[in-house]
Amino acid sequence: MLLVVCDLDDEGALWFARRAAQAGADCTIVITEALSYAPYFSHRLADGGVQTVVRLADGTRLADGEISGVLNRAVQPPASAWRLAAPAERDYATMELHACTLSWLHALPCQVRNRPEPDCLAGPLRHPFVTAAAAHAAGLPCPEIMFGTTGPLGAADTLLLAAARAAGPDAQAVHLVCLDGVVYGTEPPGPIAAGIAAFAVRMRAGAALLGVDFFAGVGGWWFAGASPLPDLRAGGDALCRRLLALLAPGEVAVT
Amino acid sequence: MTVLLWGVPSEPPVAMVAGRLADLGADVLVVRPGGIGQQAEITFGADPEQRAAGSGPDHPPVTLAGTIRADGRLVELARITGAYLRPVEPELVPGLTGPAELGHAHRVQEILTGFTEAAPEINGCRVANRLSAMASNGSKPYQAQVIVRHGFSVPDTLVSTDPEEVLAFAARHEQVVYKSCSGVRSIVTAFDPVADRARLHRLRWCPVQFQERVAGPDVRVHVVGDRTFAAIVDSTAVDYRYARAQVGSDARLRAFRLDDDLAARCVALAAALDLPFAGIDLKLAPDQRVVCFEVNPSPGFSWYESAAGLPISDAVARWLLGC
Repeated sequence: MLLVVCDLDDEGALWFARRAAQAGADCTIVITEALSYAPYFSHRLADGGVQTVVRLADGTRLADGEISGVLNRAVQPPASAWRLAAPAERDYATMELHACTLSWLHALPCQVRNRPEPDCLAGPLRHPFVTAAAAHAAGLPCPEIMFGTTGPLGAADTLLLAAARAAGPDAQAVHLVCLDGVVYGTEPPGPIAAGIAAFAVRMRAGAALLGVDFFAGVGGWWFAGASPLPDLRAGGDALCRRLLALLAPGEVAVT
Repeated sequence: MTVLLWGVPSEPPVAMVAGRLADLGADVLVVRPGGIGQQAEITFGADPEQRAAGSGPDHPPVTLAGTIRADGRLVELARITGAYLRPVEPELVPGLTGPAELGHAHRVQEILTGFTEAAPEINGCRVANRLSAMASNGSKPYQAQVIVRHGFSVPDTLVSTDPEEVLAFAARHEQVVYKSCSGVRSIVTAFDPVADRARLHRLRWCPVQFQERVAGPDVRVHVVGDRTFAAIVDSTAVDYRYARAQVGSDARLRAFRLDDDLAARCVALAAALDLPFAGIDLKLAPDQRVVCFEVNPSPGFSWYESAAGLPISDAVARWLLGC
């Protein structure tokens, strides 16, 4: 079973799930809200390993050994069921459900893109300064960022704006999808593609899906940020095929 | 060089580290949570001098420059070579209620977070600990997976929404405890299959973590860089931190010598979690297992220092100064 965990409005993930099903994969979409209402969650840990079984309200059973791969796009913990609870109880439950979801998805023995990290269920998400430093060290053109207590923008938006300015007037935003260090979809200039592979490693995302944003214009390509939740549609058929080969090996004929 | 202390100055761990830094003659900048009277600006970019010198493209130099005004003084970020973090969320700072005040406090927090996240790689600043690294303690079952990979045992654990499964788990173990999976409300409590049975239906909406209760003395190991400071605990309480409430008398602590292999494993575990300063909770089980429960990324070490005579604050201060 290929498992896609995502929010209800994650059009990129749902696009991939449709493509996977069309290709013949046994693809199950689990909306994070459905996880919140799951009547059964069992997560066992011991020196010998981890075993998890989740049963959803519609009877779907998710057991470690029956999952061939996971496309994980969970942004928030599955805490919908607690939405109307008293704030203190809701906050506690949200933290608990984050802890459980992180441990479950992290422990799965199959391929997971992205495997969750403690500070982001969706995978590698670093502070914009760390991201910019990684881009810079990887040889990607990175603008100077000035950020202070008196400015109106946060760090991520400051980086975005600086990149737009550096790329010059009429610069276009370019969203690249990178899987395991390889760019799919829009083909960037050679040095940028090589830089992205090095960037993924420096982000400790050598085995991850990343969205890497640039502004491109008369001033060249300028790094504008990165996210563990790329728009998968930008990766096109080639990304679909690679993800299927990774997450549903042997289930579909990948050409 | 200046050491940044980001936290409440009167809180014992912060006060103790500040005191040892003062003893060592360090310049200390205290940044209180809340942002009151604080301003900061930070610039990230290529170092113009080194770029002109033609450094190789694989490692182009970057700088993290700027200033922070706090505690009545202005300090250049480039002077900050060490940082000890025990911040408090702005929402929890007393008297900080207006949206403008809170917004400013969050802004200062974002800048300090950005600096402390990026500075270790960019300029070698010693940070104990980066906030991103502290997040691992937000999921104890996740941390347990890392712990096992470093050669420790973990307690037999079940996180479940199912009452019958919990009762079966309890029946397999002599004694069982429960505690939160996250870092919230993390008090270890004994599970009573009879008295607690009527409450088990509440698991339906939020799984709870149950563990075998491991016998044997507790040992708290503080890792500071590559040094370890261990205390062994004498208490019959389920959670010795709350011994007075649970068994009527405080736990007693004394210094404990770790063997070299165990000390090395503790250091490696903390390093794997990107925690130069960590508090590791162990049990020395009668069956010779060394069982590890969790790694605290922001240890409130003052009790261990004063009760067991461990020079933890001195070690933290020296680590921050690189000496």
